[in-house]
Amino acid sequence: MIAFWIVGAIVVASAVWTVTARKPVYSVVGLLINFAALAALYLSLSAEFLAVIQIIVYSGAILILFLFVIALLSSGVAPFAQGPNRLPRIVVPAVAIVAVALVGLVAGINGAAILTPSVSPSGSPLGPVGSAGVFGSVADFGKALFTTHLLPFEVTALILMVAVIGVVMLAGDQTPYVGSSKQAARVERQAREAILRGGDR
Amino acid sequence: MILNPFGTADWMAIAPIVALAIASLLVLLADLVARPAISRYGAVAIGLLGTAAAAVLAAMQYGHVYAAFFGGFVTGGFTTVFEEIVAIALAGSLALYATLGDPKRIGGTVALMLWGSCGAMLMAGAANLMTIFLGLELLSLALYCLCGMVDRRGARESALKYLILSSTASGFLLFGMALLFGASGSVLLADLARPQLAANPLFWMGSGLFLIGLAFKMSLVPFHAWAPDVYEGAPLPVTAYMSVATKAATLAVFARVLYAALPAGTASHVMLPVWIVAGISMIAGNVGMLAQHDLKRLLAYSGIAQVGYILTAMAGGSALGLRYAIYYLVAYTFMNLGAFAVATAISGEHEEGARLVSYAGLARRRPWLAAAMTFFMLALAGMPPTAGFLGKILILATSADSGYAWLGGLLVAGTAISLYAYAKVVRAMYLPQSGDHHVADLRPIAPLAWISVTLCLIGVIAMTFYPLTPSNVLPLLR
Amino acid sequence: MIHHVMGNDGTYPLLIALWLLPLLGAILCWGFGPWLKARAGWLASALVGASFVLAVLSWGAGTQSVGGTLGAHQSLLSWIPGFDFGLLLDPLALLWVFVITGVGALIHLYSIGYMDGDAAFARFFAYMNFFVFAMLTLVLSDNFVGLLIGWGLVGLASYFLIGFWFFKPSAVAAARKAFVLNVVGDVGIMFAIFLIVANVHSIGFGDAFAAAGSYATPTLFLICLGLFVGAAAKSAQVPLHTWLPDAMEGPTPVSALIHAATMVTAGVYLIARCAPLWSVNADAQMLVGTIGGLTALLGAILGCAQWDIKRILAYSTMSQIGYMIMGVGVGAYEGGVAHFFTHAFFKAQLFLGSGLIIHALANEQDIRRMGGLAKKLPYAFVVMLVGVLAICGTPGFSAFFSKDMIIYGTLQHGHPWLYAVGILTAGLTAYYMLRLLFVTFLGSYRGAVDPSDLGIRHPELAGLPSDGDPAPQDATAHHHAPAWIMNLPVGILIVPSIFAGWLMFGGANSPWAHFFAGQFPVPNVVVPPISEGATSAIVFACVLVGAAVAAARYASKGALADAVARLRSESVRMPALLSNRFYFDAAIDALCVRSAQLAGTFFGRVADPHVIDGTVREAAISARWMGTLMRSLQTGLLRAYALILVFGAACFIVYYALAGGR
Repeated sequence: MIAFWIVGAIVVASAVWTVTARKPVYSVVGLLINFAALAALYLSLSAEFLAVIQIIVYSGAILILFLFVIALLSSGVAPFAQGPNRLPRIVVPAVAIVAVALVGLVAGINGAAILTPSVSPSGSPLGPVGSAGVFGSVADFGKALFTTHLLPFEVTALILMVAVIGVVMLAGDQTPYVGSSKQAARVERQAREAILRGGDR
Repeated sequence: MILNPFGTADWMAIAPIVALAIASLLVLLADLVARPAISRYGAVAIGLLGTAAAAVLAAMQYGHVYAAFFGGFVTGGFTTVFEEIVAIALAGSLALYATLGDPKRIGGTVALMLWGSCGAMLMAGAANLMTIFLGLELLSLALYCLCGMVDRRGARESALKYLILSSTASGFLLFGMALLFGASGSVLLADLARPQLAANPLFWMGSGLFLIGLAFKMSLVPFHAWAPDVYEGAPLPVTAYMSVATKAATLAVFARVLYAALPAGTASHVMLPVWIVAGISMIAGNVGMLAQHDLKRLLAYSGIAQVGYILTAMAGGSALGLRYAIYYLVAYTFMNLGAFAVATAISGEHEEGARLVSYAGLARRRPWLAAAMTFFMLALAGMPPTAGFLGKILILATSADSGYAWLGGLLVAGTAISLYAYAKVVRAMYLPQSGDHHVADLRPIAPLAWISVTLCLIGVIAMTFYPLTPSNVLPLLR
Repeated sequence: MIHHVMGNDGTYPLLIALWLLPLLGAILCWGFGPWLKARAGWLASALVGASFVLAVLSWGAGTQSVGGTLGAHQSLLSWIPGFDFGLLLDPLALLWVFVITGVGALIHLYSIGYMDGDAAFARFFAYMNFFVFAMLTLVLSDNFVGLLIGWGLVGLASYFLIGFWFFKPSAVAAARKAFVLNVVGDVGIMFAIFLIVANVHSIGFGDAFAAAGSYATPTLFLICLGLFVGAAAKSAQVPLHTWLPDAMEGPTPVSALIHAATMVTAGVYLIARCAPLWSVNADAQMLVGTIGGLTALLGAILGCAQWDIKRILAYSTMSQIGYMIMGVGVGAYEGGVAHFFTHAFFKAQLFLGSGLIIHALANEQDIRRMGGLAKKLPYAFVVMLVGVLAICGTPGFSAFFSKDMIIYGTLQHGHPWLYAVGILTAGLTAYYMLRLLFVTFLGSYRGAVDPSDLGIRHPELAGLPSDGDPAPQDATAHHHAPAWIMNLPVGILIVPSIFAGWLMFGGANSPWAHFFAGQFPVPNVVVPPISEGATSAIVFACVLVGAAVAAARYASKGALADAVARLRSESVRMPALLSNRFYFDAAIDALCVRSAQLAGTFFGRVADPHVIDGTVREAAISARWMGTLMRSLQTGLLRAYALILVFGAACFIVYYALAGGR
């Protein structure tokens, strides 16, 4: 329980730092700490597989990508040096209200029993959700992924494809998406000329 | 160990979605091999064929109740109706791409639109929190890209705004889902209807956050600010698509939650904030229309109010209310698409049709187009000879019955305000052109644009006389 | 739930034909206008005339009474129970159909001459036929929605016809004003329909009226109020009357057909149609009767202060409709409807007669610049004379009977104040109508007098040729249309102007009472202290006083000799209150027309900062996505949006925390 509160505090604090940091690199570091602390939370909930995935995918791959992007693009962009503007004062009461409401919620939940059904009333094979030790193991995770949650899993694949194609299309500004090799050659020639001219479009 | 837990019925349930996904891949493939001159029509044609296939496959599921993929996707009347609405929106907006848009990107654009519709159709049948979220993200992701798809400054900005604000809303939605999962221990919507949950604060907070996410997607008033900007910046066909498909898909999710996923007796309390913001939307949306000089912004505000009308129908949670809501939604689909089709018909590459000033004297240049636009505006305003009026009457009747007469009153007040704004468009067309500084465009109108205007017109008129009455929708919902 | 249908259900092909013929005409004239050319006028007139013949042939169907069920009912289409559409022809509808098609056909005929040579000749007749169709839809519908459809369509036709000469800015402004005020009325009716549907789940007249006794009293009052807002807007009742005088910017035949004989009386029709609702709500009766009386009086007062011949007639129309509304409002339905009938003839005749004058004087509409026209235009003089005698209620002429029915009716239904107003207005009517007649036709012609000598301060505003009907400008260049084509319809109208009133002679035994037997609810009437004969005498005495004052001021020898100076002094000394028409125009403009603009501007500035402007745009110019991303994040607007979102979310969260913590 004490571990939960400590890790929880780290999660919140690192998230705040991510948002308020003056330099984007610091933000990334904040995010890194945040992700790591989240992985620790998963571990404490016996979701070992998720914890490992969290470290490998988010901390390992995605944040490194962020760092690359920032390193490549931040030079010469003025606002980076200044950091984000301060929020207007009006935000303070709004944040306070939400905070109070959420604290009240937590206080309220402490007493309430959280349902842990062994089988869902609709009769579908839910998997032994909430029974510690089994949930979160790699085998269990894999089975759920390919049976109960096959549809969401497949849809995720679709989402990734949309993201890839979409980014290619949007980036078409610099390298237009072309239909034929002849056209491609023309576009390439134009692009080269543009660069020779000094090319800031 | 179950090796293959899924049968034909499971795959048939998502067949419309699969058809769209396959069509989008074909579009990309055709775009690679076809000559640029025909790639535009090829892409649109394949897209329309895929849409037709999806519509047929969806229609085959009508009345066939089945919970596919362990309850992840439910088929039946309700799902079919909303899938068809998405198909209509998709076909209507694809047809607009026959004349507009960058030819270099047409393939990818059509593919993204098809994928977005996969997400929207998924939402129509989603009966589990994960499917809902993924469907929503699939739709939104495709839309972010589509919004930024033209080389206009506004387009890029619109895409960014949409991305950032929508992600914020998705965060609320996801947090709410997490709390709901925590409360019920299940991702199935049906499990949220258990009576024990009524006393669980987690359930209440989860519902609240979940509904914030939905309210954002429906652009209800405190969560609406993105809509006018994003609509204005996005290309016309995308705006047309967004204004109908996103709303329809989100309303499908909302209706499923309202009718099938709440503990008995809690609906009026859980949904009260939604009804309140729906009421605010009806007034604020219509007031917001008054100041607009851009058709897309005007229709964005109009859409904000129209969702309020549809929610008013559902407010009582009655079967009749759902039926009327669907009726109005279908009518709205046709009239809104029709308005966008007219705007596209008079647009060139600079989207002249999006600016109200382009409509000055349209009645003299293109009397039939102006007449059609007048009809769509009258329908959106809810004036008598149209389905919009009948829809509003039905909504009012049901709101009075279900004890939400105050929403009905706001509806009438909003309608009264909106008349000025819609009349502005009509007046612009019928008054003589003031000054000759803008070019009287008489470029030929693409046949496909004519066809889509005509079909939308037929749709609105048919809705007036032959109302879609899916009386068997409600039993199929669970 | 049993649905009540008014009328004897059956198949009435004649009814459908008479309803659709004008629509056919509109389509033909619109679609084949360039080919039809001048024939469009004949085609349109013939179709409306045919419609009239069919209406006569439908007399039997419309007046049939089987077991207390009056009239004919033809189903058109079934939608869902309670939401069916059909046609209903009962005596009330039949009366309106007669006037719409009969007077309509005559005015169509007249228009062939009046509009001859206009560039958009065929389009004009397309609009006119479309108007007739819309008006027939309004009066033949068996349900509120059909009525509202017709209601909206006549408004649309009127909008197009007022703005027919769209190159005149004043015409466009007038059309816009009429449109806005009529929309206010449409919303009122829509509101009433919503209330009715919410209560009886039906749009049919039968259901709505069968339940008349079962509405809660406040609900019923609100329904009546909503309907009356619509009626007031369409029938130019105070304070929604300001569009009617402006509507005179349209061609004169339009003024005669739409803004005198038919469309503006739609409000009278609506209230007479909904008599079962009104007769059980005394408050609504009081309201409508009072507004009607007020309109009658105000219209008459303002009529005394006008110089434009068509505006005088417009205010007189407003005043006469006030009479009708007062009649149907207090429960004297037969009287109110009777006055509609007679008024349609003599007012159409007066307008067409004024058209003859305007036509002959090359667009002059200011009566100060007329004078002595009795010798120049004897036919127009006879026409106007008969019309004026009729409208004044001269014994033997039509309005004498119908007006007395209303004035006496107010007393019968217990409204002595309205009785007094009715009598006073009758006197004023005689005054301003004879003023029109004397100034126009007696004395000597003042067309050559300098306008400023006549007290016309702003000639360009007070009816210069450019502001009048442009058609006669072309008229000088052509002589195609024979004179009879304009003179004949006016001549025909003289007959009913004089004799239509005799139908109402004989009280309960009159043909009029027989025709309407069973149509209207029969309320309890009190036996008034003053008999009907005595009322007629009082009214006539009042008329004589008005006539005498008018004669003394405008027709006496001294007045005629000194006409120019007298007219000048009257113009100059016109009280500001009157020359500004009691400031109604300014008030309505500020309230209805300008408030919409103001609200738009306000919200444009405050609630909807136009975003794709300014800083964000500058940022977005950059093609570098990262830079754009960061800058957009930091512009105030995006954050303002997020802030609004978070504010809404905070409200939600607080609610759910409280609701969940109960």
